[in-house]
Amino acid sequence: MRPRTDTSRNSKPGSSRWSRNPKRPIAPIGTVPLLWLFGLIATLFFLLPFLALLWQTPWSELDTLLRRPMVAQALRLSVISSFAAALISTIFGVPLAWLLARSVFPGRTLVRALVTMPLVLPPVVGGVALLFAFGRRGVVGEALYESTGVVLPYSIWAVILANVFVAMPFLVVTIEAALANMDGRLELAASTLGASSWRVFWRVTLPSIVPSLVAGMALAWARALGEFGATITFAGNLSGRTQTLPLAVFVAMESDRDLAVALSLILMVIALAVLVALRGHWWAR
Amino acid sequence: MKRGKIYILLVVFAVLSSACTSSSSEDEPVLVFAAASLTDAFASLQEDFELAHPEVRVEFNFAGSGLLREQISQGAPADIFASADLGNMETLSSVGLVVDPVQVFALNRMALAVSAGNPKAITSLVDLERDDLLVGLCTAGVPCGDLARRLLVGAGISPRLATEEPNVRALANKIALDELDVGLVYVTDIVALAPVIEGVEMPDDDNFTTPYPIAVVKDAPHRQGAETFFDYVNSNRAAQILEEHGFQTPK
Repeated sequence: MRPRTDTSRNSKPGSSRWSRNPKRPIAPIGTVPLLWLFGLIATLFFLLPFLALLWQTPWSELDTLLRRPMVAQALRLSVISSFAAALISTIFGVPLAWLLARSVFPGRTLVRALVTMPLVLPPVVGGVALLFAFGRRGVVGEALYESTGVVLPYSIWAVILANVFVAMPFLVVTIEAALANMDGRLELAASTLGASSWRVFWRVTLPSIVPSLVAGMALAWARALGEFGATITFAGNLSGRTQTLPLAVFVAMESDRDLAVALSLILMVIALAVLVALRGHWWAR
Repeated sequence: MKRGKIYILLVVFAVLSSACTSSSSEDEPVLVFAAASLTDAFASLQEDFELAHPEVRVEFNFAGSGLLREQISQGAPADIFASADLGNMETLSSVGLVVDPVQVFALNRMALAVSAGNPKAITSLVDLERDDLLVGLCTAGVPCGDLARRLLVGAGISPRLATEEPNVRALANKIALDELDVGLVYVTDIVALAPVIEGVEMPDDDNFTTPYPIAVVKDAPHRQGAETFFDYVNSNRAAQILEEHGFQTPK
């Protein structure tokens, strides 16, 4: 039952990057058996569905399935919209997290609750809410439509907007926690040495939360990549325009299960590649 | 260490004992897997059915017919399958996952749905090619999407689409919200969302009609209740309710 990788890591402690960290003591395999048992159950719980998916994958037809034009279009759209959403979430989410962590203003608790709403809300409800706000007959959308003729839904902008709506909270929550926990004396020192508050933020605050920033961006990106409910409700579903990979999976599920499984596989491969790369380079200590 | 072992034993015991207690009993509801377009009609049928048969309760799982077919072939504990097309039903009956007879209990018609008052003056399928309209269809692969495409291909019309919605209700709702100008939906959806949306009369042509088959699932956990509901859905009493919701019923 013991994972082989862990045994090998344990067998040559000198080369392990874990054991070098004095802040993180290593528990030999099997100590605290109750924790090990439950940890293993949790691992299996995540592993089994993915193994089942691999089991169901039509490997021999995979090549033909993935050559369909709609696959490349969905892939392209998913990559563009998820990275755009992560970027926009960062540009607006970091300042918001900073406000929440470092300022006191009336209604701050309310704003914090507001930011976490999309985490709780079913994404489809989020999609409907976005439609009421930015749709052709929405509060803001109607004015936009009447004055410029622009309809936000059914465009890639709607996909990105829906992604930002569900993804940004992950980034804000992560960054806010990091800002709340960081050592404020550094900022204080910089500021007493005459640095402007902008310079303090840019040169001291931000660099010291880089690991959390990357973690927050990765979470936001991953959430955006898998986003389905808000997207299909707000942006609609049209191959090549608004149909991202999750939407394509859902639609294929109705008519072509092999295609649905193949598409899910791509989604998993992209997510794994990016998240493992980030872990390896940024979070390792 | 010793206490740890006791905990583990307790957990294992709890898991095992809970796995053994799940078995079917008589007062469990009959689970009906029904096409999304049947949502309102079947809710009405349920009320009437449970009045007539207080000993049987029914519960529904509404979704696209293809998704339901997939769930049933993956072993979902369905008792009844009511599909919005023949194809998905045939897929299941050909491998013996539903039992004979497969009965067509209703017919639905496809029509153009527009906002109340028809502000964009849409009168026929040809209007779908106008470029001042936001046109939606159901996505290919779901019955309403396949039927709509057959009609459009037959008429030689290729509209520029804004969206391909995953099911007919989602499409009808976007027309009701005026986020789309027009779409091909079922008459039953127009009836359900009237007076917010209205239908544009289509030619009286069999091509616009689609049959709804129903069957009892082979491994139905509540076979007896399932057959009672099956008979009820095919009765005259049910036909009357179905017609109130815009369905036609086979004579």
